[in-house]
Amino acid sequence: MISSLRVLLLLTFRSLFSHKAKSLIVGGIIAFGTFLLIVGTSLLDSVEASMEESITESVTGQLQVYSADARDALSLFGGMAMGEDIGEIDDFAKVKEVLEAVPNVKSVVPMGINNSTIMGGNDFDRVLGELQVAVDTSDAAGVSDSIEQLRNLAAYMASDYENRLAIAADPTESQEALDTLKTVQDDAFWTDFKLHPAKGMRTLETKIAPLSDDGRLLFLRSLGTDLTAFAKNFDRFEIIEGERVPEGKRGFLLNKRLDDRFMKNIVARGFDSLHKSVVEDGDKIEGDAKLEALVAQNVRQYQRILFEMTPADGRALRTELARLLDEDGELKELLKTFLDVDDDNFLERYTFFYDQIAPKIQLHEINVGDTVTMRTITSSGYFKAINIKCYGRFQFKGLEKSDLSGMFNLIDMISYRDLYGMMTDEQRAELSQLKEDVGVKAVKREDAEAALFGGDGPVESASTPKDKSHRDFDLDSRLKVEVQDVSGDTFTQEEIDHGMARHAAILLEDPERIDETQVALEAAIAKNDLNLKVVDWQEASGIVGQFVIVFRVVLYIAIAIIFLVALVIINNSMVMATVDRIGEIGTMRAIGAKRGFVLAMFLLETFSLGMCTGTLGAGAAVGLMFWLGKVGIPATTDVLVFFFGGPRLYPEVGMINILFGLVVIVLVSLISTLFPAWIATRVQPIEAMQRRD
Amino acid sequence: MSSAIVELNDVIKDYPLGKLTVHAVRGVSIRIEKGEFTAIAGPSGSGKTTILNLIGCVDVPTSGKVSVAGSLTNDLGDRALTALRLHKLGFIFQSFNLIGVLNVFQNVEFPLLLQGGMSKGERAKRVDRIVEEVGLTAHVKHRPNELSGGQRQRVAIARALVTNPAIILADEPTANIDSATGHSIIELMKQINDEQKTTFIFSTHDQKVMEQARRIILLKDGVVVDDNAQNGDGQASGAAGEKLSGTDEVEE
Ligand SMILES: Nc1ncnc2c1ncn2[C@@H]1O[C@H](COP(=O)(O)OP(=O)(O)OP(=O)(O)O)[C@@H](O)[C@H]1O
Ligand SMILES: [Mg+2]
Repeated sequence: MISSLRVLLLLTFRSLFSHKAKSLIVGGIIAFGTFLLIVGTSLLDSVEASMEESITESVTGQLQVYSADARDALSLFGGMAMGEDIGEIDDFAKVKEVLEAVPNVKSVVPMGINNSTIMGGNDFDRVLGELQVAVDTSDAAGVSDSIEQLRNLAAYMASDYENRLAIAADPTESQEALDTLKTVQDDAFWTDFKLHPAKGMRTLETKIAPLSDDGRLLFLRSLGTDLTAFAKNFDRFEIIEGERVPEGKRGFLLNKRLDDRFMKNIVARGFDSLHKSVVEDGDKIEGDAKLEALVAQNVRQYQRILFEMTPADGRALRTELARLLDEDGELKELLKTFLDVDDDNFLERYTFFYDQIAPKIQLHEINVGDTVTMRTITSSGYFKAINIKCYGRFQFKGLEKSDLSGMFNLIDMISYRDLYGMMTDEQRAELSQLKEDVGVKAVKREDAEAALFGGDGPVESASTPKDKSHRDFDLDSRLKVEVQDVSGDTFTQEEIDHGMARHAAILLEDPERIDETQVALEAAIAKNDLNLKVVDWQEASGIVGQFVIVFRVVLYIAIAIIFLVALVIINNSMVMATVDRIGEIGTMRAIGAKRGFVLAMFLLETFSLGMCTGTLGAGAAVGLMFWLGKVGIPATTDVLVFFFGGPRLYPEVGMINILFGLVVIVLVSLISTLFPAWIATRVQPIEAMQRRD
Repeated sequence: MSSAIVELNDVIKDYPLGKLTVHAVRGVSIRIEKGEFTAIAGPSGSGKTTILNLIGCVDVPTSGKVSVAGSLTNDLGDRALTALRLHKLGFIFQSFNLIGVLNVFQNVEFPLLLQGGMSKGERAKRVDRIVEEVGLTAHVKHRPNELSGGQRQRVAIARALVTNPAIILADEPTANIDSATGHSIIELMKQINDEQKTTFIFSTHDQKVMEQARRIILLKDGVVVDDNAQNGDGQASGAAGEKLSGTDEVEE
């Protein structure tokens, strides 16, 4: 047995060397296949691990639980619009108690997602407010500054209504507005204003202000959670401006990414986009239609700078701009020239914008420290509004540039519950009584959302002039929503825990043991009748988390195709080699070699070839992965940043990848040898007699 | 049948050839005793190879009985036939049929390895002795393609001999080598036959080669037309030789 193994090995190596072409083809395929397999699976595993970090350390935790009664699947990143029914966890405290007792569970953090809107600033209202203050404090300079701004705004509004007059079917409304606006453009009005400021203010507030835009409708998606627990458990969370919402206080935190993308001054956003393309990606504006359009848009949006500035700042800016551009002119014209950037001056103007202009305007719709009114439609279909304070801005470390990490703002759990507006049966009954009394028909949730959020435009309505639907949006007055001011409220940990949550993140001591912990959790849930389902981060994150699965499927299909081709090629060349060796095989059989010997000879041949070239391929793959692990693979897009868990992916190659690669390749080569080997065993010893060589 | 090491009884072998049937052997009965040195002669197509294949257990008869070293091959399956070939038979082929990837030593050693059960040292001793016997000691490390035809056939003889088989079969062992070398190959076989009493059965259609045999079985169209053992003259040539030379057979 041992001796025949020896001759087998000898035969194997000898024939591998003497059939060089075949060995080279088969070996090459095997080496390449192993290489591909190891590189592919290592990269995927690394991406999955990084993405797991991105997702688990920023929002989901390793596992999520939510109601077993949910009609829809929890899908935290994408896929989940509004109105998904993921059920409710009625008493979070009980869930927390049971689940935190399960081994390997570090903590359980309550969560819920809320979509609400806030109104962005209205320039006219803001300046009017400033004027009121100036009047009240007898600040003469302030008064005349504000007046100048208001007159500019009125002129701008007038031009707007003129445009509308030209296209409107029924001109009366626009004409009336124009006439009203004309009065404040008159010097007489302002002379009179200085004498009777109170009367003038009244005119401005009641007659002029309603003609202005309602301001921009901003859409906020917030994750309601126990903010203290969140900060403690999600390692990537970091405050970059302001502070955390103090324990026990109502408040929300803005996601920097979300804020920059949707709530920043539109000109600033234009500069940011250009900066990314021109400076980071090295693109050229000239010749790039998209970038050119961006520049043109910025030029058109000059008013978003002009009207946000006090006249004093405007004058200062005019001087600076004249110096920078080395030309003189009105601020408006200078601004337009300034905003018309090109490849040569972009960086200089970008810097100028952030140094000189940004401090003079309201760069963000919401400033840290602002108290805003969040409006939403509660789960029971009613409008709800609360005043709540913004304490700071945060980001997720390493994911600063990823849009996917900028999916949620954060809001305290109690306010979340207010906005979610779950009602007890008692409250529900009371409300329906109320409804009857007032004669309001129950608004279907979907309809209400459509009314509230309009189409799909997330935020911006920058220079959209006031129109019918916008005015209809004056929800507070129209639907008599009482704005509840909660900014001063306090609450206890008890209150956070004893209440409703939609879902909860479960963070583990040892994330590796996720599977067994999931099983243990399910057991604990069943035992305590909690009626919850447990999903892992991948499932909970929705489409994004499942991208990796998709990639994996794609990779495996690709590998399967490659292997199928390899199988055919190996099989073919082996069959050819077998035919070449019929005489030799026949001779061995005639001399007394058993069929098993022939089979073993063939299998051993491919096996050893597979092991040798497979190891070569594996070596190359490991080499490449080590190199990549050193230099990193840059994340070239926002999505990649998220997948890579940071700006670069430093892939690792695991023993399991190597073993898997080798096992698969050896299996494939053995399978592809089965047929030729079978043919070989069918060779009759009599063939030896017919041999001519 | 007693002591006969090979016995063919009314053996018929038909080959299907498309819709036709080729009657390669049409009723042959031969008895060969242990230690005989027998040539099977006859013109091309007369059935020499077919009979050697039947004796060599690489083929079974269509009818009739073939008994080799005490076993009836008709009854045996592939495994048993293989074992019979491995332990009782040695083969010398017309085209030498050495294993190209193995050197002389390894080629000769090969059947021993298939048999197993022998230590490395024993094997080496046996191989060396036999290689010396066939006069190739200087070439043990050579590959077959580095040897002449005569040398290759010597390796083949050594390989056939190494297991001490009861019977050595050789189908036209000299057809692919020049006549002088062919003569010496047959002489070598004869010498071994003398010394070791190994039974040799070889086929040829070469008159001179045939004459070196002690017994000549002459075939024609699948039947035995002459057998000097049955004729009683224990020597070659004679009637059988003349009969063959009478045919206009030309070496290929
Ligand atoms: N596998 C086969 N299939 C069909 N016919 C065969 C087969 N083997 C041999 N034959 C036929 O059987 C007859 C005997 O053939 P065999 O090879 O035994 O003759 P031979 O005496 O060895 O001839 P040669 O001197 O040419 O080697 C021939 O007619 C041959 O064509
Ligand atoms: Mg023949």
